[in-house]
Amino acid sequence: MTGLIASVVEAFGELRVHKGRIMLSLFGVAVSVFTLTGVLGAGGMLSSALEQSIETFGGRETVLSVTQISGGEDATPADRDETVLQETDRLGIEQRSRYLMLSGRFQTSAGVQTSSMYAVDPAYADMYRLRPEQGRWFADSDAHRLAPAVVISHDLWEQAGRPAVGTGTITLYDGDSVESAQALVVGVLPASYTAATGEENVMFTPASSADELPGVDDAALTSTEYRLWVPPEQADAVTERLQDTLADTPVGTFDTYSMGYSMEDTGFGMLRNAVVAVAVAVLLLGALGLVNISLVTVRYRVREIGIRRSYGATGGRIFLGVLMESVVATAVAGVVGVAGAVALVRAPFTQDAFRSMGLVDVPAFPLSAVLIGLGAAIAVGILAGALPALIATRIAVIDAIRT
Amino acid sequence: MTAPAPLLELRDVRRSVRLPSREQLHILRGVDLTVDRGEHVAILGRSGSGKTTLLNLLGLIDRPTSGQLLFEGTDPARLSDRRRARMRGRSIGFVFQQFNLLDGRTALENVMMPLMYGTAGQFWRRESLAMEMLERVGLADRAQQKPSRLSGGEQQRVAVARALVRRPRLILADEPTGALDVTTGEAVMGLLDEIARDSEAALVTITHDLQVAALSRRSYLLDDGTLHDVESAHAREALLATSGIRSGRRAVAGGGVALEEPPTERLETPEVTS
Ligand SMILES: Nc1ncnc2c1ncn2[C@@H]1O[C@H](COP(=O)(O)OP(=O)(O)O)[C@@H](O)[C@H]1O
Ligand SMILES: [Mg+2]
Repeated sequence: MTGLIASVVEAFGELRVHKGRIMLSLFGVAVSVFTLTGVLGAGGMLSSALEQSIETFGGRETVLSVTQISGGEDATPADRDETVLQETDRLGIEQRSRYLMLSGRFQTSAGVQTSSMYAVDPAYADMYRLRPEQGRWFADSDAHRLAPAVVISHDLWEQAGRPAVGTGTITLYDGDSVESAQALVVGVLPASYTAATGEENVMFTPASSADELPGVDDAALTSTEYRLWVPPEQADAVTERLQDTLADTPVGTFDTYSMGYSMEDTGFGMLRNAVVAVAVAVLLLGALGLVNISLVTVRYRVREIGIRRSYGATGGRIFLGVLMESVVATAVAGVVGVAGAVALVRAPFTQDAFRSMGLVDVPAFPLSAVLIGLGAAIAVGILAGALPALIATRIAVIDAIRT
Repeated sequence: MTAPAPLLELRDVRRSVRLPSREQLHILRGVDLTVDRGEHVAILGRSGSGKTTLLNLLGLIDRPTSGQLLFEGTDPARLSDRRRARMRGRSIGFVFQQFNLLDGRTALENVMMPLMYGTAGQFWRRESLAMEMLERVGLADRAQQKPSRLSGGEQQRVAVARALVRRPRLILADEPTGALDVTTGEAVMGLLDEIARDSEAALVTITHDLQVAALSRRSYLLDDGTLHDVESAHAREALLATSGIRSGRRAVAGGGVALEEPPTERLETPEVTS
């Protein structure tokens, strides 16, 4: 144990003496560790951003859609809800939401504007990772309000004259501007929602009170879909099961299919792998430079090693000493590189860039990227130090100290 | 109960090397030597007579081609490299002709170096132990100086401190005054002799200098690959054959050696540095 500590102490001393010579190759190691960590870290964060964006659009892994494809002309929306939801309850699926696409019209100071409108259940927000930037998402109790509750997109909120969230209302109209209703704005979605989906004017409202909205009648309610969020490993079994049990019900035939798509479909992974490959290549080149310099250093230090050996340094200690020099040096370079990468990725302007790409929760810098960066630096140190260390142990003491 | 083994015991030690011409060069041809604990021994000899070769054997850096070398009763040739290195670090301190201090490191760091390979206690207390030794050689105020900023005499005093910092039982000095001028050399040699005596270490000094040799209780001449007592007829003859000795004005060693005059110059002209 003392031997190892002594080797590290010795290595620091050696590095201080030879710092000029190793600085340049260490610079290479620091730069490649910086690149590697930065790419992995930013890549990790970006893929979170992308993932969140995909989830806003297509739902988290794995959202299933249950859609009526035929039959059940006489069934009421309530009958259908009961049939489908009973079946999903039986499978123990808690995260489920009705999903009904409607269109809405709302009052602005510049006249009436149109908007997409989705009637959903509270669980929908979790499934699509929707988080209001102001106010809140619906709760079950919102269905029983006198005035319908809405969660609206940022753009719509601006156009409606920024009503106070939680107390303010917007005026909704039916298609002919005959009927109107006041809807309570309970939440506003961030602009990143629009960035991810491309929809500017959007309203979400509880499905349970959708029939109270102007212009929504039973006919409009017939096209309800159901969205279910199940663990990815169960998705296939659940899909198959529902396809089976909902194929032929008194209220019609339903199809079940998966909605989400994964990161692999985006090509992002390939890009990241390519950059990592370049960083690793740079790192290996740095290692090669380091091997070269360490070899020169050892040759230059034959006498010194001989002197150390005459004072009782064992071959093992000489090996460890030369190896440690390399490892301590690259570890220092690695810390510098990692710190630089973290600083860059955590810098305010980088974070702003992430947010503009649709990142709702800016994740912490991935620890795995930090560990990989440091690990790579130390591995390079071992790789670059092993050969010179071996050569150093082969130095004959007699020849080394011959005067 | 038998008496404790001597510190060093050499019996008929031979060392030969193969020259590039495939000839065998017999450097040592049967050396017998016993060094007891705390004893000071000097070995004289012409340049090329095999003094350094002998010292490397005594220092467990090299192995005899044949014959027996025992260090405190054990044969180091039977030990693993690792254990031999540890034994060397624990028991032997070297002083070299060319000082062999580590460049770029301060006097203090140089003296601390052997402690890096010592016991855990020595490692953790290396700074205070090294400082103590530097004080002992009178260089406490130069502790932070690098060798390039020290005079030759100061460098050799740092080397003496380094040789003694682990309290070895044997100090091997290979022409310790060879790179110093006469006065400085005498001062350094006097210091080495004194510190070795204080710490009860045995001291084997290789030298050209009869005055240096005179500090030791016993002196030998290495000639023809074997050791001769300086008082022996062969040694006297060999020494007299050397011009430097003839002009001596004083006895080399006690006991009425028939050299009427001491040397005023060395057997070889030393390189005078600084
Ligand atoms: N490894 C070796 N190969 C060839 N010749 C050697 C070797 N080691 C020593 N010698 C020769 O042996 C002789 C004695 O060397 P050395 O012990 O260094 O003498 P000294 O220290 O007395 O000047 C010299 O002639 C030297 O050239
Ligand atoms: Mg010599």
